[in-house]
Amino acid sequence: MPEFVTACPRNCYSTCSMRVSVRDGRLRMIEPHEENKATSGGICLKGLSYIERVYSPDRILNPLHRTASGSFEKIDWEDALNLICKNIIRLKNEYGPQSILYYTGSGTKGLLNAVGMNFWRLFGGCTTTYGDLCWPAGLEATRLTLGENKHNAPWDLENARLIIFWGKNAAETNIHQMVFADRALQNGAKLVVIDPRRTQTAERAHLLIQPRPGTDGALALGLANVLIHDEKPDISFISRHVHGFTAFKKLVGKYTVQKVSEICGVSPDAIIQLAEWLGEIKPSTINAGFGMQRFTNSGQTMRAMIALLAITGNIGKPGAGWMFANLQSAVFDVVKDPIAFYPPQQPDGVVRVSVSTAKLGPDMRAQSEPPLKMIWVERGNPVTQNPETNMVLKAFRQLDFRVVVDQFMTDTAREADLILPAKSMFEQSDIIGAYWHSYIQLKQKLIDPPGEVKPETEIYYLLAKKLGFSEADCKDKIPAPGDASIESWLQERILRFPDITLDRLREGPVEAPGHEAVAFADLKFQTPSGKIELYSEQAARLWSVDPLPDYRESAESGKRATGKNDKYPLYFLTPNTKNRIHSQFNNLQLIRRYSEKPEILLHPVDAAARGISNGNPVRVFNDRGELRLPAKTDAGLRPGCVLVTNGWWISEGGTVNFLSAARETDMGYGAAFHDNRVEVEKTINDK
Amino acid sequence: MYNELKKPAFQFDLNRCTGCQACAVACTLENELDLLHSWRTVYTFNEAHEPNLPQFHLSMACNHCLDAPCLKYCPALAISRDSVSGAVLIDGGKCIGCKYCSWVCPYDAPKFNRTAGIMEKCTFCQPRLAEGLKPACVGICPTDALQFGAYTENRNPEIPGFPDRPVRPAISIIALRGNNRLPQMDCTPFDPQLTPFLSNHSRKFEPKITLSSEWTLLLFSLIAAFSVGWFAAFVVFSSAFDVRVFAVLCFAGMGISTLHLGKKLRAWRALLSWKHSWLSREILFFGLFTIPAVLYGIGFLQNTAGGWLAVVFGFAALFAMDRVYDVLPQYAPGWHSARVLFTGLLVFSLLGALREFAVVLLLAKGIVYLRQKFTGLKIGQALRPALSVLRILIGIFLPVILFFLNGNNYDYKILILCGVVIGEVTDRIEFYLQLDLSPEWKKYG
Repeated sequence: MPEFVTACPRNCYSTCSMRVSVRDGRLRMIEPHEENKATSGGICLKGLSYIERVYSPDRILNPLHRTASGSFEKIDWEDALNLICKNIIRLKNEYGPQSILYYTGSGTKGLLNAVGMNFWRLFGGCTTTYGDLCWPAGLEATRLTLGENKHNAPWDLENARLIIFWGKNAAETNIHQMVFADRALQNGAKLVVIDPRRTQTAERAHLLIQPRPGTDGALALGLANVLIHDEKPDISFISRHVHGFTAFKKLVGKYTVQKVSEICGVSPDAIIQLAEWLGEIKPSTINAGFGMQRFTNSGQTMRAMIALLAITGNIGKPGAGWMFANLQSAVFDVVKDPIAFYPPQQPDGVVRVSVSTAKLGPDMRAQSEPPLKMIWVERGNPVTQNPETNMVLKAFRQLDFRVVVDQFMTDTAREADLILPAKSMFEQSDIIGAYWHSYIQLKQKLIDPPGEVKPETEIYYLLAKKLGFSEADCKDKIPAPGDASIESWLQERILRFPDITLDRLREGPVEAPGHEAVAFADLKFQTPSGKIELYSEQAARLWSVDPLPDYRESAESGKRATGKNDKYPLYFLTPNTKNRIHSQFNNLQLIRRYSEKPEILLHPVDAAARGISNGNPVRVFNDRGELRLPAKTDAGLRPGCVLVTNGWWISEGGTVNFLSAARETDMGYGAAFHDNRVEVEKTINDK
Repeated sequence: MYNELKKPAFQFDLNRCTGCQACAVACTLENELDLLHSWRTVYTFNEAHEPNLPQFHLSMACNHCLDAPCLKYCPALAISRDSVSGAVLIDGGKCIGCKYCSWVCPYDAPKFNRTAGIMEKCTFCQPRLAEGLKPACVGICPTDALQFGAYTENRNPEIPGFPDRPVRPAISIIALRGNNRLPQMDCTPFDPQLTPFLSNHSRKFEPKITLSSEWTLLLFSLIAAFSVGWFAAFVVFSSAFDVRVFAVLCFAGMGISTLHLGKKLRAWRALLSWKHSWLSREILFFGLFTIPAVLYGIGFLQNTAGGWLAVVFGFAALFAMDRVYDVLPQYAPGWHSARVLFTGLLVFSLLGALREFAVVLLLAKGIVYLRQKFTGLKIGQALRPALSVLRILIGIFLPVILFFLNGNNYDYKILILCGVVIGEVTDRIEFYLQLDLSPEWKKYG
């Protein structure tokens, strides 16, 4: 049976290399590729479910146009393209091209994603978003502190003697990392998990600390306080490579164990225990997750966490370091994240970068001169995934014309006037990087798109033609349809890297040129001082925060609310699960058999206080919206926290973002949508 | 030839499994099963995160036991061992879909394919083995928790949740290491008063035997017991007998018993394993009872010895019928009051006017019934008060009292018989309701 190499382009740490067997032109089975040392163990259930996803009877295979009655009817491409042209030309003439919002999500990786913006520039411009839903606060904190977002190779974790999974549930979101954690554990390493819930990862831990959400910064400062008090810091490392230690030391003096214990709701013993391990066990690695940096104070939180590694000399060594994002494979980017998604300092007058991803709903409605009249959504499901769903819906419904490119009838697609069928990862070749390991990989075309599906590049090409642009106008910007043209476009991009050829990539993954297995081994930091900056004037200048990573209560912290106004006492956790990548996959039967419907987890204490038993229908609500779901008790949650996993569609039972707030993080233009509190009440009828 | 020492086996490391389900999905895809089904299941223990217990997962398919009960007890000789891999395989062309293999398997490996009407299960991925590959579940496992190695004589006795049965399963399980048993936790101590709010999250097991799925077997076993008892009374005591009614009863019973088969036209295959399987013997003996009994009844068979022989086969069939259930792994046989052999003897003594013996039997059944009720309550079985009242008052007290009042009165005889029928049916219903074949999994759920 013929077997082909490809790679999974989802927004996921693992970015697995795959071997796909094809029988009679049909995908049959997906298996791991042994040359990707980070993911050689296996394929997760989502990766396996591609076999269903590609051939799902629910897949959209034709352009769909909304009729007057509100339902969708199939139309052919000619009509669909004419409809788009008619609308975009009209809007360009009436309001200017910036009345069109081009919105892209993180649905799929690839160099060809750039073609969309090339089209809109050719067209004459558009409006687009800045910032990102996922990880900006952490990226910016890392950039400010260490100068670059990179970390040791994934497999280096097995050299660690102390591993801290801080707000990261690798067992579900980066399962391949558990292999290296297990090897470290077998070699006698200590494992600590810091998370408000008892996660699957915590089952492997020696110590589980469950702080109040949003207080991780204070916890880090408290740990630093104990370390410094006990004279554990690595003074020679600090004197050579750390900037601002004296000021930092003064700051952490305020964060006594007692004070931090009160802020975080963590016992003094646990803080002292972890500080002891941090002081004595080397090398130490902190794996920081993304969820914890979606609070209004989280850039500073992440800076405080990195400081723990800086003062103990745990940077630039095997088994040590800060594992947050590894952008070593982003070799094709002229400007890397997070700078790449910041608004330009000087607007170019063509593309208006004025809508905050974190505040999509309110910002879309706030645009003027010109106001927004149309949206084009690609690789994303903003109705479900961006904060404050009710605001996003309102903004969507005010527009004249909505185009959504997707494989399935998502909540966003349901809002469209025109749905264009999207290709699957097996239907067009592209080159992808990763953010945990540093392999460059080919996501290879293995089958022809089914039905009337056309890759986005082809849609743009056909539109450009219809708009009267010539071959010469499109050259280098929009590849012509066909495999040869796509390959030569990709070929252009990899020309400057002699080790990377398409033929080589067809065999398996290739390590990014210049990648470092041990990041910062040269102890060179691209910061203004050339050192690890605990004190960052840049942070203060760019983001108006304290130059030191001081702790502030987050926007919805319980310590801020006054007793009588505290209508929403429960912290609302909305983590990702193994069953989905954000809002993808759960519509498939292979996934649904393990993940049938959304439910809310409550600690039995909180359930008892509200008279809620396992299985009861409840209403979860705050001023922004509500969800109605069945309750499930979980004694592993920190009391006072409730949890619904992220990514459910409204049509499946409700997105968590009905309840989240459209707010930015303190730095990096991230979305602080985990900064969120709710109340839960029992409902009589599940209506 | 297959070599026990080289037999491959699964290895499962509790320290590595995160419950990701990739193995079960891989099984579905590799074997091209319906998307909602898999031959492999991942069981999660302590889903509710009770603070003093670890949470862990156990991924289970077929363990291709060296002393495989499915292979031993399959009545249709549809299960065999592959001579190269040692895999225990179901031949879909021979399987009659009686599901008995799933009853006798302690690991719930054989699954009934409703569409095909046959049993299916893990094959160690025979086509992959032939290509030198590992089974799909093993090849896919992202954390290497599930591996494929050589068989070792290891019964995994210390593994919670793993049914420890002397069947030599080809799996070795690596227990949780110290650090993985439970993290040191800094959360509010758990107040036992909250237990009601921490309701049971254990997964809902699809019961392997239910009254609604096996009512045909219930009917068949009772028909068998009554017809054997009736015929025996006729042969021994020359009691009243109507061969037409008797023949209809017996053949209807046999017909009904085939209704639960996935492949009804292959019912004859159920006789094939008479050397090993009580299920085959039950059917064989019942056939050997029915035919001479009917011939004797119509007078074609003149010799009394023929009648006696039929009686012997009849009771042998009832004995075999009880043995079918005795070998089930989670069922402690003991002396269940609903054993069909007793029902047969009761009917025999009742119709044969062995009044004292019938009374003793009825009372003995009552005592056994009450005893199993108490033991059942202790292990959390439902009380089912309505059935108990029927069983004791109508099925035992009523007949016994009527006997003592006047056992020879014709109306009383009818009432006695009705009471006994109601009692025996009730008892048998409870017997099926109690045949819960998944308690060992549930215990840790």
